Amino acid sequence: MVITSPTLFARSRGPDRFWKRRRILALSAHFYGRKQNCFRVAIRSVHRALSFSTKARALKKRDMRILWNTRINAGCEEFGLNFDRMKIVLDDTGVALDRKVLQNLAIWEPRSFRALAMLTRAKEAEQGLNSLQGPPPGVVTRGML
Amino acid sequence: MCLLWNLPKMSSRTWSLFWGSRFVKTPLQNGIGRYVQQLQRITLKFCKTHGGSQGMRDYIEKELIHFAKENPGVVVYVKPRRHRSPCLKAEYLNGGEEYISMHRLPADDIVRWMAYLRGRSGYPTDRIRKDQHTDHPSIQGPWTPWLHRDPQTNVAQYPNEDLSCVEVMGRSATEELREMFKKQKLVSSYKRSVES
Repeated sequence: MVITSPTLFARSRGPDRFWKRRRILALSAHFYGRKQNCFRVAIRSVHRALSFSTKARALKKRDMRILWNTRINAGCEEFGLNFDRMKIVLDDTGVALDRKVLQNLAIWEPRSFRALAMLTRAKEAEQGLNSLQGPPPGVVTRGML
Repeated sequence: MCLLWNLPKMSSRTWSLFWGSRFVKTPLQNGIGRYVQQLQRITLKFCKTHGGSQGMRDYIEKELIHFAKENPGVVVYVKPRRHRSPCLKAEYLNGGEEYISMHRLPADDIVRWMAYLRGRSGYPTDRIRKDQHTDHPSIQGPWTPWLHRDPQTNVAQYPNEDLSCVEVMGRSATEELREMFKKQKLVSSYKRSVES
């Protein structure tokens, strides 16, 4: 074989075991005990950690939604409402704000959130829902019969 | 442990606490006044004969001149090196470097990778925690516990009749049952015997 440049002297002997293990140990650098330094112990922990992170993607979305619900409910409670009632009114009036935006409003733009709470109250009064005075005249509910 | 820092970055999909994470940031507010392209120089290394560099050779022949004209601030180096696989090496103003192998990639892919490197700052690709950042999250002012309360409570003298009154919540179940019982007009046997 005519070796025309020094690069061709290099022989590919096989996969580089050291650097492959280094890549796994980089991911286990923050683990406890032997799991961070010993490859045979670390590989198991790293595989579990990676699978957990895969599964957690759906769980994170779920957790964030629960957090947003809690925050919006807290904002509504101040006006004597809850998010269930507000959601119904927002759907009826066509206000297409999602939970992420509503919780941001409740925290950072409280006057806008108050406006939405007042809208809920007004709409409920119009429909005769959730009021101590009872339904408007001409409406018969099951409790009356 | 020091060997871990010499490690080439794994694919950007593997986020780990080791590689770190950051929030979205514009380094030095680039673009707010004037935008300065952070890419300093780009090196295209390829082989003149090997098949893996075919895409790179096509790119250099046809598309590279357009890239160089559109980015006059970027120095483009072309390095033909025998028996090596093709690659792009980008260097940025803050000293950051990016190496991407172009082995066996067609010219279209190389166009896209060049556009990707063009827009990057030299900071490493950490996991971004949130897609948005703002220095001024609130316009109306953030919520406080006293925002929706009557300011009169600040100067009220306690004990206060009006503020201490019970909120009307509607009829309780006990009251409803009492009313229902009265409607039935039932009389107890003892009372009947007493009256008779």
